[in-house]
Amino acid sequence: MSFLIARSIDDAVAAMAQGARPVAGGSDLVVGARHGVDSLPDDLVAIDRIRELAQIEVNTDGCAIGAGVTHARLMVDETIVRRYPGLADAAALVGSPATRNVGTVGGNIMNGSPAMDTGAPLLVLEATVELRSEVGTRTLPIAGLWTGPRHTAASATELCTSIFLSTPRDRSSSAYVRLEYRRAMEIAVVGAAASVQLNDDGTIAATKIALTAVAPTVVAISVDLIGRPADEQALAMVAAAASDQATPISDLRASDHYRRHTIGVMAKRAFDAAARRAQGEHIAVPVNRTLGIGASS
Amino acid sequence: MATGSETPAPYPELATNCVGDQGVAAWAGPQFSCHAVHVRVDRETGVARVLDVSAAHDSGTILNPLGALGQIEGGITMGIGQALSEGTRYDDTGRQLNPGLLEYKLQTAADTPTVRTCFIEPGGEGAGPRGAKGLAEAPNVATAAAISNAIAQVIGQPVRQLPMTAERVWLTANELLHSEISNGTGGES
Ligand SMILES: Cc1cc2nc3c(=O)[nH]c(=O)nc-3n(C[C@H](O)[C@H](O)[C@H](O)COP(=O)(O)OP(=O)(O)OC[C@H]3O[C@@H](n4cnc5c(N)ncnc54)[C@H](O)[C@@H]3O)c2cc1C
Repeated sequence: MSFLIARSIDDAVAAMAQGARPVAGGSDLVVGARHGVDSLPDDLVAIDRIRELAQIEVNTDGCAIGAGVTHARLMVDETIVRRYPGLADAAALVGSPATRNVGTVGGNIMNGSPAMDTGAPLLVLEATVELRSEVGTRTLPIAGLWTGPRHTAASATELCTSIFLSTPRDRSSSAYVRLEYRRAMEIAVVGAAASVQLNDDGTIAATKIALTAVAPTVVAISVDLIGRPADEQALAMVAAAASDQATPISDLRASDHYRRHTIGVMAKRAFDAAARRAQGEHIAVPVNRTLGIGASS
Repeated sequence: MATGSETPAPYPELATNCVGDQGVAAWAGPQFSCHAVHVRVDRETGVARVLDVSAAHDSGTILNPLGALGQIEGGITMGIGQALSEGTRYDDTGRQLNPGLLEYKLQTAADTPTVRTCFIEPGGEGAGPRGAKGLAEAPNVATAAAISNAIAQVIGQPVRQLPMTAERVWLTANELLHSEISNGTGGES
């Protein structure tokens, strides 16, 4: 049993090479151990005090979000809210203020739950993930990161250091919404993210849609909307594609049947909000509260 | 206790021991209450949210106003949970499937609506010491029924099972409830 507080990325990857598991906020790791999902690892390396991991760096290419950035910071960071509002929408819904203050975006994606909230927006924003070990550094598209429920393509010795998002195109935006039964301490029953880029005439130039909690991992779906206006018909197509391509299960929170229906509703609402934002409309983060999803006021 | 039917003996006007009338009369003075709720239903998903609650209570003379207000607000919050989200679920062997607070969904502070409370204090007729009557569980009795009536008004018919989860509201609104959840896994309250 050992516990090391890493001060640098090098410290952390060295400890991981010796078999230690990284712990950031601990809001999945410790809670999972308490609930018997996994036992607490023998050797832990705390990565929450590594300054380099807690930075959001913006340059002309885009934005590198340190894996140790908390949800509380993501949801209010000016660059994230302005350029990648779908990610801020998701961060703002995580757990409760306490959860958001300790929970990190790196922990969220590396934990690999199909119900993670930041996964779908990162997928539609085509994020790439940087993984570092003592052997070297590699990057991979986030679509290749999740291999199954709670499984990732990263080896046990690889630390996620940052998540990179390219500078968004003009007339583009994103949104994330989820079905929730209450307004705090909730896990997505289903959720959907959309990114939309519009042509000058308002028709759709590009769009991506990804779904939360309706498959073994967060998944992208395909729907051909290029050249169409973002109108009622497009919304209906998005809803149908999401419901068709989802492979939900039944559990305590919802039946597969209800999930298949509501994922269509969430997908069209995410798409609608992203398209409206791309047109320049201000829809405050998080969309769930602003547009009354989950019947909020 | 006895069975059968008879007119109960009158309550003692005043017991002669040191605690006065023992507070028994407080139970005999019936308390009345009425709740009105404002509910919003997301028709496409069945998610219902309580936006406002008004509660009128006749608990006689209120002796501890702050305590009584807290009792009402707490009772109403519990009633909203009972109405919408709280329900124990069991597997075939009787083991509870949602023994923790992540899956047994209480209402959180973020869900709690504005509660307006009005105490009707009609004087001590038939009440206990200093005109007080009970309060206790009354604030929790009318809430779920009021919410149920409000949801029924929106979707056209009542949801006949508690809690009125989003899925049940949606199924009822689409008249699918009986065919869909006849497998008996629904949580009863
Ligand atoms: C009450 C409560 C409510 C919650 N609500 C939500 C919610 O609404 N939405 C949601 O998505 N999640 C929710 N969660 C889950 C959790 O808070 C988030 O997934 C959070 O982002 C996890 O981050 P963390 O830093 O706490 O991760 P940790 O628990 O520290 O780590 C999680 C896993 O990732 C690994 N890990 C962490 N950082 C790295 C890294 N940099 N590189 C490699 N591996 C790493 C750890 O070894 C561990 O396996 C909730 C949790 C709780 C307790």
